Amino acid sequence: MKKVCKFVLYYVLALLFFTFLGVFINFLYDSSLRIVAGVPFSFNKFALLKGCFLGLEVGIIFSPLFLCNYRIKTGSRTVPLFISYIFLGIFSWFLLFPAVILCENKISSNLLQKKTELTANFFRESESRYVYFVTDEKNNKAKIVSVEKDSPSEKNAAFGVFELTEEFINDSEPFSDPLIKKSYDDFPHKIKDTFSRILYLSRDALNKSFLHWIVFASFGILLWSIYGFTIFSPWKLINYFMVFFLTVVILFLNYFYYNERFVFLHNLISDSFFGISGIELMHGILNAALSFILIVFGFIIYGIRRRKL
Amino acid sequence: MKKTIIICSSFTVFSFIVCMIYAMIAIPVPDFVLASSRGIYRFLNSMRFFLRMMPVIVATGYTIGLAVEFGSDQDGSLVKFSSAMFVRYRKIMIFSLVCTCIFTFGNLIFIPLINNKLESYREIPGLIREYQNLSEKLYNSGEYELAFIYGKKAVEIDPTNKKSYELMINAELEETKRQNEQKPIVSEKSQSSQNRKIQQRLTASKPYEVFELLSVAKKCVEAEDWFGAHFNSTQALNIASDCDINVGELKQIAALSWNKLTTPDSDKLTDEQKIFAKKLEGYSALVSGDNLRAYYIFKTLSLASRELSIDPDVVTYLAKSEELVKNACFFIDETYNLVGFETYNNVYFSVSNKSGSKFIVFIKGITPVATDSEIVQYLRGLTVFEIDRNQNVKSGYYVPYAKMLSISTEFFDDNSRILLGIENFDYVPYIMLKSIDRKTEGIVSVPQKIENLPLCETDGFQILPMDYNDFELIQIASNGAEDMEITSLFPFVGKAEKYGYSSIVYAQSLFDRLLYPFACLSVMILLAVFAWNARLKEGQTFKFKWIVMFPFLCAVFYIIYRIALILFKFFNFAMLGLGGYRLGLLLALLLNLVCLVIFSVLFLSQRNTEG
Repeated sequence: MKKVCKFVLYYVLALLFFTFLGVFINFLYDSSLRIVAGVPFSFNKFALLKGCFLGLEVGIIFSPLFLCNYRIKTGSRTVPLFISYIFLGIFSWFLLFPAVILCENKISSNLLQKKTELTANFFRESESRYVYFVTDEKNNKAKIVSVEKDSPSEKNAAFGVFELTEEFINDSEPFSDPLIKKSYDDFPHKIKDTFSRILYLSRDALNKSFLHWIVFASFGILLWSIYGFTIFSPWKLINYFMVFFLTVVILFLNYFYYNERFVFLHNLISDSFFGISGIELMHGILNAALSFILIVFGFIIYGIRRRKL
Repeated sequence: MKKTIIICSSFTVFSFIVCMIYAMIAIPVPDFVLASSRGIYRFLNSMRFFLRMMPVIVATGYTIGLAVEFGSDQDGSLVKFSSAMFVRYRKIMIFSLVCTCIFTFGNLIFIPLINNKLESYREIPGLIREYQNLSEKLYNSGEYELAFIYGKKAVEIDPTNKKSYELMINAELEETKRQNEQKPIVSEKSQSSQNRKIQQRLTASKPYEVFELLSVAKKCVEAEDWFGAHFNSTQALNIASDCDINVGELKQIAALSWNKLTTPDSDKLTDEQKIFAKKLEGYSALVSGDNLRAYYIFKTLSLASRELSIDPDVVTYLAKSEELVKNACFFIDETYNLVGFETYNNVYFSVSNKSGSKFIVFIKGITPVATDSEIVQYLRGLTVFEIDRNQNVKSGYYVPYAKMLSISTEFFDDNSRILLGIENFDYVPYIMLKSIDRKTEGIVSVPQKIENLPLCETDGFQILPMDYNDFELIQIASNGAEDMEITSLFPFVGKAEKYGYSSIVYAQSLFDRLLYPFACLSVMILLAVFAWNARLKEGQTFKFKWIVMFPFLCAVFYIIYRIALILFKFFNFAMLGLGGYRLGLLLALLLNLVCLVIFSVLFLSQRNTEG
């Protein structure tokens, strides 16, 4: 019983850790998107709140990894622990996750970002020009002086009030200031976008029907089916590696499905069953099948370890 | 720690070989690299790849090594904060410090060095082309000696280049032929006496005291060198005070020599009279301050014939007028073929005046050239806007080439320093905007008007109210924060916004580089905690088949490392936002130390629960 309580406590701590991390990262990421040169940092409380939800959702996705690590660390192999693991998985994906999404939906309208206007007295670069802002940007216009990048000549210098072209704005996307983009452009936007897409689809599934949610939750079942690999090897280091490696592989598999590059697959299977599109159902079946394979493997490993003992 | 060191070193060496082989095969060599340099380029590229992966490789080997070592030596740790753990901690700390130093050197010194070297290979083909073009131009204009020098430079870079070799050989042959055909026009004895006179004159033109100039002027009178006598006496009079006892004598010499100069000598031939008259005209222009005219007169005389080119008067006053002209403008031919030797491109900055107005400066390319006394910078494509205090664009200009020097503010009096806004600086940039043709009067390049904008009033030069050292920092900053050395980055961060740059960008780079060693150390201790938890069981032996998992373990560590780098960057961003760059750095350092203490306590509190 004590071990089960510690196990549950560890789960709660893992979620709290991810919530805090989500708040930290989202707040800073949001700040980096809105910050412009010359303007002090400002706190956006809605970014903090959004980070809270994001962190919790990502925590739910990674919680089986943390619980498996706990199991490897303590070496506990009791049946109550295994049962509590299953219950925590069901709780996470059929109660907690939907509850978090529903809460987030209620406050999401206040989380819209306003683009920050560019400040004066700084040099910025567009694709074709070096620009100095004489005045602050207002309504997408600013007084500037500039020279063209490629051809030096008195004819390629320009000055006056200009509308900031799309070229200039697109060059800084998703940041407000192209100067800031230079520093933070190695942020893995694609990973962030993929997680955003997964979370978007989770909301979409929940909004549609419970059946949709169950199909989506096959992703969670697959994540939680790595439990058996916590005793893959007599050496704990290998076990830590295995559970992490499997988690990453599962995320990558689902990433390929949710990535926009593979949207064309959706057109291949256009039939729908019980109101669920063919492609979603196929994805759910694939996840379920892989979960079954991992669970069977887990039991085989357990049998082998038990015989060796 | 023996097992850890052995395992870590073996894994690192093995990974080094794998990285080098992988990088040599998988990373292609760009086309611009010369065939003779492809081998070294490939090697440097592979080294860079390994250095980037090194923290991950070493961390993997270190964790595995510790896990094996702790497995075989876990006695004495039944309680938290046992003495055995303290012993382990000490060894781990030493090892971690060594690894941190290696990572820091690799990341902050070796990788930038390799980057610069690899970048230089990109410039080599362009440099060879420039040398070849120069050699060809000089050959065609008969300057065989210089053509040979540039041809030789091209051959030194790429000995296999046939064109460079041909240019060098042809120039060498022509120069040898020319030297053999040349006969001396004057005798050696008279040549050496003329050289002595020239040296005497040039020595006399140095800023000596009044009495010394008077002595030289007297000697010139004795030698009937009336130009020299007048010049030195006039110079002495310019610097003498009114109560100087030598003033009377100097005035006498000046008057006598001038009378001699202006009185035609009836014994001389007509041609010589013409030459003399021309010299006098040039000298008069020089004395009256029309240095440009004086220069062209003496230059024309110098080019007229070989005898005149070695005439002491012509040589002396051509040098003198050229020196004075060079203080105000430069020669157009100084800027030929500088593009290939530019060290900085696309440099821009803003400079504020005390009046509240501002100069916005854009420079396409900068070429530093070392002269005997200093380094001058040639600025290509200089565009300057002047903005008044009401944010209106008041005037501007563009000049294809400008020449920039560093001048001491001591040259100016107090009022001028205040007027120019340079009273707080020791050296400031002095930009010459006017360039002239070396041989032909009238060919001039001056600042050009920007369309729809009045021309700035410059009088052919611009003095920027900023420290010259700041200009050099801005040049380096134009390459980007990541390519700046810490010794330049640190002073620049505080000044960036003054010149129109974002301090956040440079401060972030500074934070990342300064705090990297502390972060590495903390992570190494955390990995030790993980290794303790992942150690082999007591009595368990290491199985050879586990080695197969190590590369995958390395891949997992790589993913964790990339995530950790992002978190590290965000952490620094947060500190920068909270405290600015000075306080933020202190705060970040403090928090890093706190993390180190927490991880250390975490490690020391580990115990052997299985026992």
